Parts: sequence; structure tokens; C-alpha cells
Amino acid sequence: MRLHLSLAAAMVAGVCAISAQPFSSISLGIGADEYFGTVYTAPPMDEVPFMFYVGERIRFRVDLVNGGDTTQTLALGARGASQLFDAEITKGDVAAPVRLRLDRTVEREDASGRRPVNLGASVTLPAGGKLSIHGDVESIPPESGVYVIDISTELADASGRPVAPQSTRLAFELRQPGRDEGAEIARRSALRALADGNLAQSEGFVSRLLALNPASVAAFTVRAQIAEAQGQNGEALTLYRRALEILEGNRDQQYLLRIGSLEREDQIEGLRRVIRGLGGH
Amino acid sequence: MRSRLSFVFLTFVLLARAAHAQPPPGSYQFQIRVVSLESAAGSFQLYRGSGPEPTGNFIGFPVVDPTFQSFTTDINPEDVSMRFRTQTQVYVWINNAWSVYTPASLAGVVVDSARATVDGAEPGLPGGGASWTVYPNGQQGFAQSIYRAGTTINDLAGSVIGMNATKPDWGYPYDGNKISVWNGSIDGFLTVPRPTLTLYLDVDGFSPADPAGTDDKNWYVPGGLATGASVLPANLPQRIRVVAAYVNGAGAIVTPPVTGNAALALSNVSAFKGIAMNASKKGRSDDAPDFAAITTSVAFGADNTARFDVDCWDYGGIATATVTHGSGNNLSTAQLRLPLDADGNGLPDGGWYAKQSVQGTTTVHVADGGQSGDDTDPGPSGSSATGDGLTRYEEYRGFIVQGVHQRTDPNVMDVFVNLQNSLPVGDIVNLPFSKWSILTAEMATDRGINANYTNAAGAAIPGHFAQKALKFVDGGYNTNSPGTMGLTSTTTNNPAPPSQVIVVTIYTGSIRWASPPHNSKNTVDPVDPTKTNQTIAHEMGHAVSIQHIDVNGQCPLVTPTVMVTNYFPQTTDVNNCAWTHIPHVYTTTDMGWLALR
Repeated sequence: MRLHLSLAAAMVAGVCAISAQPFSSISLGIGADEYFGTVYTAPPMDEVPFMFYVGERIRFRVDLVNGGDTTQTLALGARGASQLFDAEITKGDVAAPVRLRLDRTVEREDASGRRPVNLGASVTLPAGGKLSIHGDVESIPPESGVYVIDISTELADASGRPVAPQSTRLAFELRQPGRDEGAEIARRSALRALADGNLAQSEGFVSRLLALNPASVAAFTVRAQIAEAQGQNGEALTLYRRALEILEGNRDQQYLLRIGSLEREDQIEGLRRVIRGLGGH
Repeated sequence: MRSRLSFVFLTFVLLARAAHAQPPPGSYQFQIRVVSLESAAGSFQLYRGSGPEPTGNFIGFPVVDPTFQSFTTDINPEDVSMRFRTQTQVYVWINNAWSVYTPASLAGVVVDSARATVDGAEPGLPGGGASWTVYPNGQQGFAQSIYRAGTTINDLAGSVIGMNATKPDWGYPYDGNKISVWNGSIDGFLTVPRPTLTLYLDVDGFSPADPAGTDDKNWYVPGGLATGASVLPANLPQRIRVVAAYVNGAGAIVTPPVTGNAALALSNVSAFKGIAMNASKKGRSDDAPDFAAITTSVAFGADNTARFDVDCWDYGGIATATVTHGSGNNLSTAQLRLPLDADGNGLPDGGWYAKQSVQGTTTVHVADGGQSGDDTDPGPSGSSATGDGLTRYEEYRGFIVQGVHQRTDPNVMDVFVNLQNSLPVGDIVNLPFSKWSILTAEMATDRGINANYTNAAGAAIPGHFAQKALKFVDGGYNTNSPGTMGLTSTTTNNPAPPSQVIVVTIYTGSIRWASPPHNSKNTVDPVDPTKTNQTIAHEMGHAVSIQHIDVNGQCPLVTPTVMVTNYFPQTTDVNNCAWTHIPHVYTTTDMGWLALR
């Protein structure tokens, strides 16, 4: 099933013959807007980049980015935010009954910063400027598997060159949580709450995670971030050091089950950077 | 008294005419005359016609003397030789007259027989006479030199004939004691064959007046243009024309020997999946034939050509065009392989124009060679693993990159990346091989970059290796691992080649969080783009098997490399050594780890 978020699919007037460079420097892309990786569970199946649990919030973001060196004008016609692109959601190459919900506002980001923007008949994007539309995957059936969101657009720039479909696919695994994935769920929940600014709730999930895995690198890392957010840098430093000790001492066996040497090296370097940043050694 | 040695002296009435086009098919007598004295060895006297013969010895003739009529020797004993240069024009006996032809106009004719003769005389002899051979192929005592089968007009016209002789001391008086030569020629018979049905390829215009010069088959590769560029995928199919014409041995198009339409059939037509290694044609079956005949029966036109429209749907398509004309004993058939592959290695004989993006994007010509299944791209350093996971045929068939078709160079490694979330290419540009930024639709759902290797009509592309593009995403701020600015996820949990890389994540929010002076995941600092470029290159390094270089806080770096670890602190100090010495390049040590398959 093809979900037509665009009500008007008419070609933009003035589209002319394709030149040697077929696409505009403005490109279309979709990505996960919020993702916390996999630590205490298997990585996503089929080598897709993301894994979400059934019931977990799935945020995405669609960008229209001017990757060229000059200012470009994007012809929008009478399109609203929900009409800028079409989306097709499939599971195993079969259309999936999934609904996407878009935020009401469209953000514009350029050198002067990020702010909501009202769309007119056209929008001008300086080099590096972009329009962003955020949204959620809603009403996804509780069926495990790999889902793919493919987006497309018929937008073109003022020269009639179509917007380049730079990164138009968001693939993710939807997974039913197993019995032994409580630690991963607690970790994700703690990070999500932290991202939402709900520190107390995040602390609760950290406690649950520590109950399941007392040597959890992730738990001490999140707890350190909670402390930082509360302005308790000394406490944060202590907690980061604790996480580093566990990591360097290979004491988080659940972590070591899933993480390879490369990611471990990167995380050790990251923790050292944080510790030095907080004045530690 | 002079006696004739069996040197044949033929008196021809030569009607000097301008050079003709090739004679009509048939067998003809021909002659090529000598035009000048080339050289002589021995002691000779030159006879200049009337008047007394000069005396004296001539040790060789240093120059051609146009006044000579004969030359003689009477030295006893004497070994002598003389050489004549023949004309570069050919006389052909047609309609009871000699007509003049150039060797070019006689191209393709068959020399059925040819002999060289030298006209001359020697004294009548008692026993112990002279011995002689006619140059170049004569046998001793025979007055003619017979040319071997397979000799061509080009071998004969302008060649050298002559005679070698040994004159013993006969003891006769002067006048009866000479060897003389004065003329020579090459004579024989040739056959002008029937015109041959020949196929040409017309991609960008064809002129019957210059069929060889406007024939495009020698450079043609499917979807290709004479400039070396390709037609845009949106403009497929590429309409080309197979041109059939009867051609004489000189390569000129002539009137068809029989009337009636010519017929075209395509055979051995490939059906490689899609149109290139990483792309399909919207609205057309992936497994449809790569060439399709649009016209299959055509009459010869006033220009004596029959032209068939053919559509090409695949940048690596293969087909054999067969044209037939006439019937019975007049049946003619010709074939044209698209593209030409006389050496049978599966690759076009004319090679192809390829793109490189090592330092900027350049175009190079790749000569035909190797085998289609080879994957032997050399690494940038001696210790690098060879091969980029793309066979020679796959690189020739090419890829769609940002909506444009391009073939790649099998002598330079290629890697493909799909940058999401408006990530820049960054310092990846400093990798010493070709890098290509592709759209999502230009890779398979599993990121395969050469997934279209099957052939519904025959054998798949040999040597295929399932190579993948690298997907780069912006992970924002890394809450899972604060301070980690990039992460390459691989199936091996170690640096790995692209086929084993799941995703490369660049945490631009974490870069902002670490960078001076703001240390804010939401505030862009001036140094952030530079650091992002380095981080992208660092993770790219892991995605082509390159390991970390742990510098343990040392700054500045002795040997700068983007692969450093334990180098960048989180700091508010804009003068911090690491943040003011961000590396941008790879080292030869890095390249030693490089592996793309």
C-alpha cells in the first residue's frame, strides 16, 4: 500500500528537459530522529541500521538540504508540510499498514540558526540550509521484522531540476522483546527519559538496569549524565570513572557479549574525553 | 652475338590512365613494371643507348640514372647482381586494354599468381655457362621468380626485383663476353572478389562515402557516446542503427548484387538485471533483453545501405546482430557483435572511458585486457590488499552515481558511500582511490552496489562479489556513549571491508559537545565542520579495514593521520593543540591495513 501524504501530485510547472546534471543541489533525506543503539541485545537483523521494540517510540526526520555552493529556491506551489513528500512503507517488500504522523511545524535551519517556518509558494535555501519535518511512526502492527520507509518527492528547484533523492530510505527492525532483554529496555527507557529531560524517571530506569546488571557500563554512564544535568559535575566525574573502570576491566559481561573491540575502543576513548572534560585525569 | 637467356621481354601497349575504382568482380591479368635501377653490385659498364659504349668499371650504381638502357659487364670471372624498383601502380587488362590502378583501389583482391622476370642477355656459351637467379624468389637457372601463395598487391607494387649471376671466364672477345640486363616486370593474374555484405554501426551519423571513417563499432559501448560519456539513464533506450552494405575489397560501398529486403535478427542477447550494476529502468522489467530490434526488414536505399534501428537498454548489454540478404547462391550473411569482442574476454575491444575520483574527478581510457571476472585493482600501498570487490566487467558496465551513468577504472579501487542527514563527504576525499557519493535509490536495500549481476538470458557476470556501499548517518548526540563522536558498526565488531559494515554513525551533536569553546551539543562552533570532516574520514577508515592509531594524547602529531584515537579532549580552549591541529590525511601505515573485499 502506498501512503500518499501528498494531496497534490502534479508536476511542478516549468519542469524542462533533464540536463547533464539531472538533479538539483537540494536533496531529500529521511533518518531516525532518536536512536540509542543496541547494547544488551542482538544488533538489528539483516544489517539494517536501527532496531526498535514493539511499542517503542519511533521518531524520524525528513530534511530538504541545499548541499550546493549557491542559494537555491525550492518551488513548493501550494504544498503544506504534509505534501512535501510521499511515503511508502513496506515489510518484506509488501506494503505495510503503517501510518506516519508529521509534526505541525517545519523547521528551517541556516547559519542564523533553527526556527519554525511558514511555507509559501517557494522557499529559498542558502548553501547548507535545510528544511526539516519531524514525525512519528504510528499504528505500526506488532509484527517483528524489517520495515522500510521509502520517501519520494516531486519537488524541483526554480530551474526545474528535481530534488535529489539523496537518502530516502529508513529501514529498521521491529522486535518483540524477549525475556532476557529487560536490561536493554531499561537502558533505552533511561536514555529516552533523559533526552526528554525527565531525570527522575530516567534514574528509575537506571536503578532497574542496575538491578538486572550491577556492572552495567550503560547504567553508570546514564547516571553520570543525570548528575551532569543536575549540575553535580563531581558526582558525574565519579560515575564516568566507574563506567570506565568497568569497561577497561571487562567486568560488564553482558556488554562484552554484544560489543566488539572497535566499539569498546571508541567508548573508552569517549569516556576518557568526558572525564578530562570534567577536569579529571 | 647476343643470345637471349630466357629472360622474357614483353612488349606491352600500356594505356596510361588515371587510377580507377576497383574493377568489377572477376579475374584479370596484371602487370607491374620496373621504374628505376635500385642498385647493382659488380663491375659494370653502363650503356646509354646509341653511340659507343663507355668503358670503365662501375662498382655499383650509386644513383638511379634515368638515361640508362642497359648495363653490361665483361670482367672475367665476375659475380654480379642488379635490382630494379617496380612501379607503385598496377596495370590491369580490362576490355582489351591496360587500365591503371593503385594498390589501394585493389585492396582485397586476391593475387592468384605472380612472377618476376628480368630482361637481359648473355653471350652464347659453350659448356660451363653462367649461373643466375631472379630476385627475390627465383631458383638457379630459372628465368622467373615465382611469388608464394598469399602474396598481395601491396607486397608487389613498389617492390624490388632483379638478378644475381656469376659469369665465368669464357675467354671470348669483348662483344661476346657480356652479361646484360635492361628491363623487368612482375606479371600475373588477380581476382576481384564479389562484394561482401558488411555491417557498420551508426550511433551518431553514418556516411556511405566514408563507411570506415564513420563506422562507430570500434569504439561503441552500450549506452556510450563518441565523447566517452553515456546517455542519461532517463534517456534510455539508446537508439542505434545497424547499417548493412555491400563492400568491395577496397572498402567502398557498392550496389547490392541482388535486389530485395535485408533482414535483421538479434541473437545471444543478454538480459542483465537492470540497466547498470546498481540501477533499474523504471517501468521496464529488470530481466528484459538488453537490446531490441525495432526494424527487422529493410530495403537498400539509394545510398546502397540498409539501416536497422536497434534499441539498447543496458550499459553492459551484449548482442549479436545478423543481417541476411538474397537467397540461394546469392545469399549473403553478416554478423556484428555489440560491442566488439574479438578476443572473447567479455570486454569491449575498444576499451571504455572511465571516471576516477582520486583527486577530483577525471576521465581515463581503459584499454581492453584481462578477463571480465578479474578484480585486481592495486591497493594504494604495496601492502594493501588488491581488489575492490568489483569485477572488471562490473566496472565496465558501470554505475549510476547521482543520476548519471559512469564506468569506473578497474585499475583504481572504488568505494561508494550514501551520506544521510546532509553529512558532507569530509576528508574522505583524501583517500587515495576513487570515492563515489550515491543516492539511496542507487544501492540495493541491503546496500548492495553491484546487485544486478544476474543475466536472465545466460550466464551471470563471472567473479561476482557482493560488494556494498557504506551508509553514513548522523546520530546527533551520543547519549549511549558520551564523548564518542563516531562509530562504525561491523558484522565482525572490528574494522572491516565495506561488505561487512552495517552502518557508520557520525555524532555531530557529540562533536559540538566536545569542541571548544562552547562544549554544547546544540551550539555550532567554528571548528565543528573541520572536526566533522575528520571524524567522517576516521570512520570511513574503519569501514575499509583501517585500524586506530593511538597517540595517547600526544600533540602535535609526528605523523598526522585521521585515524588517531585518544587525541581530542573535550575542552573550552580554542587554542587547544589537538583542536588546532586536526589531521586530514591518511598515512601509508593506514593504507597498509586497507582492504575493500
